[in-house]
Amino acid sequence: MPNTTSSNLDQVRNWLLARTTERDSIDPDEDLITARLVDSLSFVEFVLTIEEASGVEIDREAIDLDDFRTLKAIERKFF
Amino acid sequence: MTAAAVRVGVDIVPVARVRTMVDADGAGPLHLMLTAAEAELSRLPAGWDLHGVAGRLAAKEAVFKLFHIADQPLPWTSIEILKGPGQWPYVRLAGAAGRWAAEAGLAEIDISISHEDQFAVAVAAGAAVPPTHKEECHAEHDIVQP
Repeated sequence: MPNTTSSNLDQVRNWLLARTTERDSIDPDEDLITARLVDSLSFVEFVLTIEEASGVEIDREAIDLDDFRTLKAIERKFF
Repeated sequence: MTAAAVRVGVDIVPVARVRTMVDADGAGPLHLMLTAAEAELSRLPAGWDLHGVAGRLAAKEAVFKLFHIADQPLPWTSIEILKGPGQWPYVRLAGAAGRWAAEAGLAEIDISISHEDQFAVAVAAGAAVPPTHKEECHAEHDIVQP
């Protein structure tokens, strides 16, 4: 696993918040898809953002959505 | 004989969403969402055909909805929206999308796309006839309308 800090996860959080004017915070356990903070159209960019922040290359053919549903799950899997 | 069940998928894409995907180099994430053939169809002399891209992305989402697949990301490049004779759009499936179509018994899929100033909308329809016995799922699966 790459040596990352919470500031790397903040890059992902900030990317999400920059896409909405209705929010200024995201709970670590909040389902990002149910909350419509990520949709199918933005998912590709979302994955690219996580890759850039974590330094982990993500296999598009083996994506488990549960690894992307919450900031906590993303941190656990990629940081 | 198994009765066919009609499935319909619809999606709408704001042109503004496509515009934000196009970075200064004109690429952005679109190269991961469109195949080379689709990208070629989505180009104008001045750059990306934003309405054309929005329509193509809406059609991909509409087709994806026909599969009734949950908890999987949309496999953008395995659902191709191309142009046939008369400029009618048609669908070509490959990979995961081809497998899901076969599993759903979708032998034919038709699509229609429309765009206005700010939005593109697409509808996909197909008749699902679940296989009556175990059938092989093919990785490559072309579905062609006109």
